[in-house]
Amino acid sequence: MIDRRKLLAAGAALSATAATPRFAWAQAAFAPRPEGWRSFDVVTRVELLNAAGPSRAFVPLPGFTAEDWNRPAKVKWTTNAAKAAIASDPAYGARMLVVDWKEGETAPVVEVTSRVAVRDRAVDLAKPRAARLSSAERARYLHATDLIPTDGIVKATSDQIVGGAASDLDKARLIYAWIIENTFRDAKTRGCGSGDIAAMLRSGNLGGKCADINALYVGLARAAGLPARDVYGLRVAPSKFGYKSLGAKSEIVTKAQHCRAEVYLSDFGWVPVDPADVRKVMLEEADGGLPASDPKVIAVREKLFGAWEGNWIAYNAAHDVALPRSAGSKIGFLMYPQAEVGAVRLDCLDPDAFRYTIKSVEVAV
Amino acid sequence: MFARKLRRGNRPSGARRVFARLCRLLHTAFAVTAFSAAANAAPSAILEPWTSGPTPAFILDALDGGETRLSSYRGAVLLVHFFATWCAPCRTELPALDRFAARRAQKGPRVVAIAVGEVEPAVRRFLGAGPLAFCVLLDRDRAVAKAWDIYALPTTVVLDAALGPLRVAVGDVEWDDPAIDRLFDQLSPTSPAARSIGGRPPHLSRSRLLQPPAAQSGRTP
Repeated sequence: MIDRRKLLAAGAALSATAATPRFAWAQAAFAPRPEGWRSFDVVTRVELLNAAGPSRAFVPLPGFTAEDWNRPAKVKWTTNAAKAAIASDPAYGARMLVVDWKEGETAPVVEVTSRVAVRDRAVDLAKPRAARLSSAERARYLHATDLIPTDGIVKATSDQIVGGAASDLDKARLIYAWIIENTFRDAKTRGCGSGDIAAMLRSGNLGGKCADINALYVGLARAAGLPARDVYGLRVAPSKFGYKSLGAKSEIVTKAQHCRAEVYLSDFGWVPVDPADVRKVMLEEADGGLPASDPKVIAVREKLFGAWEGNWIAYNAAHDVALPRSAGSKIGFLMYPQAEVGAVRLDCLDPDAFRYTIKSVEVAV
Repeated sequence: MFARKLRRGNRPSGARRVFARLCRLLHTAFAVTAFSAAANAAPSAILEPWTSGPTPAFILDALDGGETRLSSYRGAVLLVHFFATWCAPCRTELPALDRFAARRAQKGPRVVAIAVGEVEPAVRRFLGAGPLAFCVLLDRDRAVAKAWDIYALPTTVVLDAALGPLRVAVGDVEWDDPAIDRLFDQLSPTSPAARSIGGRPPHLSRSRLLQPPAAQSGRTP
């Protein structure tokens, strides 16, 4: 809590700096470094309104463990449900709290608190190091998903982009540059987008949000033979570098879901990549948007291949998630709370039928 | 198409022409040159001849309850309209499609709308309380849209009386335009196009629809 207050003050100060001339702004350069862990309690409260019949909620939990940057810790909850238990998606291990209410419970509610420690990431791409990916993981992060095919137009586009690039690092960089130069953040996109990348390419409409733009990166990388994955998560704090578009705006982070990407390079391991956030800065960082030549855009573009800021926590890297004991269809990804009343799945983006709030509190541990 | 779309809002500029050229090449390679529209398509898309693959039969849950089989529409020209609640053109097009279906209730075509990748409450809220002149089906897992090679919304497919695909419009259509009525006046169940297609599409269960279209058995009985 105390740290958060300081953090908010720092964020405001940096924002003010950002409005000053270029030389002054440069002092707050976007430069994530893996120094110092921060811990957050993420409190997700779900209420089902007008529930008729037995109901069930699926609350995503920070279950993505990366010892060097994302460490999920304890989970606790309170609910008036008959049953609540942590479950995992069998394919990817995406963790969620599954809550079952009996018929007759007119005001189903659950509040889940998940603690997670996180820090900045920065891979030095000038210093190769030993890395290893198991054959099972390699296969998992190369194969196609329902929304991310790796053949057809995705493969053709990827081939065009990487051309004769010699190294995996070059290929990964070329795709990153192509994504930034050819996609755009579309503010009208619902939620974080659907991530249907073949439809994006075939229609020529490359607008979307993080689940579209970074999924496109993942698909193009996989089609180029580079293991890659979307990582679904949540922004939990303002950006310490003063980018208002790259951080939570308050402790209420109900709409702060964000999907990032990673690409696996054999000389470096998993490398953080976030071209969607470059396009977000271009659209949102200043009124009227920023051109690609703006120093603020250049700064994040240089860093978001190989680094990202630890003001975001990871839930999972799962695709095509079958919700436990649900008769409904698989979901493309699990980033929002989901719920069902009777056999009907609710619209996770509809606040009238399905109310949820997510709060993030930085804690000293 | 691409250049027009890329001009909107905060779009890339430097690579626009290169990307448009790349897309044109890819579209040629994939034989989809006639269908390069999308959710933000032109104000009135044109019903072009269908050149994609088969349109497998399906069974889908209806918004009003129960299941609906594509085969139940055999015997008359059918207009299958794919839409989504997040699609801005769909919001203005659906009322026009409703008027079209109502005024052509006797002459046809029959109309069915398919919500793609949507949960039931979202579709109900989108459509509002009023009755529609057509049935709305739920393609929750996008299996039908995938099998039919629908890559942009809205998209409308016109099937002949034997449920073979005749025409497609990618983008929103001006259903109040008299030219649309004239077109459908010509598309009777016994039109040459309908006769030349003939045959009967396979009946596929939902689980079979989950397989890629290429693995399915074409349009023979």
